[in-house]
Amino acid sequence: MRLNELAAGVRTLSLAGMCKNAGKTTVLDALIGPPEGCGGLALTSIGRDGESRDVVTNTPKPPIYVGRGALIATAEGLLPLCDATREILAVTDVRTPMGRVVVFRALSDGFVQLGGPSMNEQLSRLRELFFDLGARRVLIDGAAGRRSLCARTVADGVVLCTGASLHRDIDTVVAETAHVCGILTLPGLGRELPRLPGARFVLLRPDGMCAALDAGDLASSVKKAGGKGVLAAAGAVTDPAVTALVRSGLDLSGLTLAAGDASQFLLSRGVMDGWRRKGGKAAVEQTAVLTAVTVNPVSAYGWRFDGQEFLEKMAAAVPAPVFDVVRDAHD
Amino acid sequence: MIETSRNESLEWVLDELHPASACGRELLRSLRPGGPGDREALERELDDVQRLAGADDGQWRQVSRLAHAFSMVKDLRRTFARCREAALDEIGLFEIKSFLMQVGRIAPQTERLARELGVGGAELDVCAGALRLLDIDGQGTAAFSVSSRYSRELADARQEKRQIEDEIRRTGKLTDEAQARRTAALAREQREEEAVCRRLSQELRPSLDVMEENLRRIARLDLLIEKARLARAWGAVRPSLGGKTLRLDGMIDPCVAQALRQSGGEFTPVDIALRRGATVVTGANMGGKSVALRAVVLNTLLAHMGFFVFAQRAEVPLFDEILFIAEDGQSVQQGLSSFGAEITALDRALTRCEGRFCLLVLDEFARGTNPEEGRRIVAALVRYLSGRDVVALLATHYDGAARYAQAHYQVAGLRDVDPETLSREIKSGEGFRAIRRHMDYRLLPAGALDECPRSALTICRLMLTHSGLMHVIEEGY
Repeated sequence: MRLNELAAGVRTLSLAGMCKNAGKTTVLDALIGPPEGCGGLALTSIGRDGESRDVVTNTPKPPIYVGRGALIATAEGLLPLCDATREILAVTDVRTPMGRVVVFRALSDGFVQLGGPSMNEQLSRLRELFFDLGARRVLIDGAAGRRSLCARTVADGVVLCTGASLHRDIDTVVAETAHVCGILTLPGLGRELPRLPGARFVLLRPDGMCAALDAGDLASSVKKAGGKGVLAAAGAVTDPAVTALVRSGLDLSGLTLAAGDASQFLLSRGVMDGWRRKGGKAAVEQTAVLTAVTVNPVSAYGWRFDGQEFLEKMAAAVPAPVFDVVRDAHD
Repeated sequence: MIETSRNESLEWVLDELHPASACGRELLRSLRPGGPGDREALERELDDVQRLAGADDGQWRQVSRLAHAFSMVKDLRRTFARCREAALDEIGLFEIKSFLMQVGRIAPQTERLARELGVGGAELDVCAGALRLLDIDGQGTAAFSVSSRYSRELADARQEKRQIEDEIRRTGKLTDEAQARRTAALAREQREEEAVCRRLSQELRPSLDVMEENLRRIARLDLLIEKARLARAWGAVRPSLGGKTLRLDGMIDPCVAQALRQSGGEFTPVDIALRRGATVVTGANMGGKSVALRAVVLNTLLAHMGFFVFAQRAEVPLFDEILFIAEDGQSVQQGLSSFGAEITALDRALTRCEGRFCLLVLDEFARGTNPEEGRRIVAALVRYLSGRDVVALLATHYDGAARYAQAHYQVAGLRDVDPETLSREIKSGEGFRAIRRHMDYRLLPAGALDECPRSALTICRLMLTHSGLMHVIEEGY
């Protein structure tokens, strides 16, 4: 099965990149497919400063070619860079550094520049607007870096793009990608995370009681609160907090580390491995769906991996189908 | 220290209003009290609030639906301004088109408001010509594109572009040659699109005044509906404007009333009439003098802003300005003694009263200085004000100050309460709540009561737990 066929069944698909030059735009082009198939397709991107400029052309993002009928949400300031003939359908109240986000229907084939909202809540409203306007399928181009959307309220599936640009060593690329896939597929708690006002961390004990924890001395306050249950973070889960727990000698086997969604799990591979080795578990409020992983064996920095080897190693390491869209196009 | 047009209760009332449209919210933010010269406009506004407030349930449901339609209306004043000076781009034209579509949807409803309830300024001009201009394809939706129908040249350019697109579709490739032709076609398209946008903007210009008037009317109606909603919810009444006497019967402060209600209490309505000269309110500590003063200021301000007032009956003269002086602690932080700051504020207020007709309200003036001097100064102030063309209201502890006053009110206070009962309730931990329950907050003309009750002593007896101190206090009385 090709990536396109796999993706066709996902109503809202978001793309996330492990790094710059992971081939995300190439994958997006593949997912958009030929211009004649663009009716009912809606496109936007997660707008984010700093990561959104193409260094080579100094354009905000590499252009994407769409067919007439496609629905596009982009920033007002990027419209002059879209050369498809447009019919403006909506001006949203979402503001970006490039102006308000507007939605148009392409009346001709052509290149478009994407620059959309950056907050999950705005994205999910935009997605609803797309469906109201007749979209059947929504693609969200995420940013490089794994903070990019994977909340279920935004996307029904995620395609993670990785490539040789991440690191010179193929095994490191595979391991780092597998680590992120592991986070993306963390099990869902099936309930809302316990929260207490003002508390960065809360322990939901097996008896159902919640205790606010002292973020400054997490280990002893976890211990004091019983040492077992769901350790819920309000906001991001970061290395320093978890490292302190791992090093504290605390028995972690009864603890499940939890955050709202995978984008808030900012743990590096070593720390996550340490946590698991000590018996700790991890979970998110609602699990994301990893639809596929794509690989780009060519690095923007001059080196390249053997395509077949890369594909095979990746496939063995991640819990989702792996594609090399460039190879697929040539086959 | 002088609060002229803003006070906490007024903020509360304004926060209770939720205009649905952006322009309605903007109008609310810019709302300022009118003066004697605005009588006609205020009466017109009150006429319309009255018409809406008096709508029956069925009519009110329609009015509420209108608020929903207003919520879709964007504030396009900047777009209008841009259109006067330069060509709008496709987004600007889209915004104007969708505004006109909204107006078209709203107009029949506001028309009905005018017809059935007699609300003034409710008719909207649908700008049919301008809408036809922007809806050249006759889609009847808000969507806008620089349609090929606007120009032959544009249609040709797009046809050329289309041929190249189809070629790319067929071959699946964008060759350099096709790329070059495409670039030329795009340039031609863009040039012509810009020309069309310029032309459309120019042709819209004569309708801009009407569109702006529509926006103003929508903002006004939106706010008017909110004023009426508030009046309906609180049973507020239309103030009768003019004259020289400020008369408020059964008046409340809704902000305080709500806070009291939440803690199980109830606001005691206040009856007060203020004529030219000074009126003095004296009476019990915790008896609500300050609350009554604030309520007077609030309701007078509201009347000057075209609102119904929170009273059973209201006569409100139109003042040039409403001046309120109360110690707020800020001036002390600024390094002035509180008394010095009060005098400065009073001086400024008196200057503002010269040659103008003002409401001047002073809460516990000169409380920060020694009582003997304070009494003399307040008495002098009352005497001074009594000869002026001003409506002044002073709350004070200094009973003697009332001698020169036009009128003198006293807070009824803890007069008819059995101290034993009250004391028992306080000891059982009821504290403030018990006092609040037994306090008679009514303002009564001073003649109706005996000598001012020594309420401070009563309150000390009730609330002071250090009996040693209480003993010493009682010895001194």
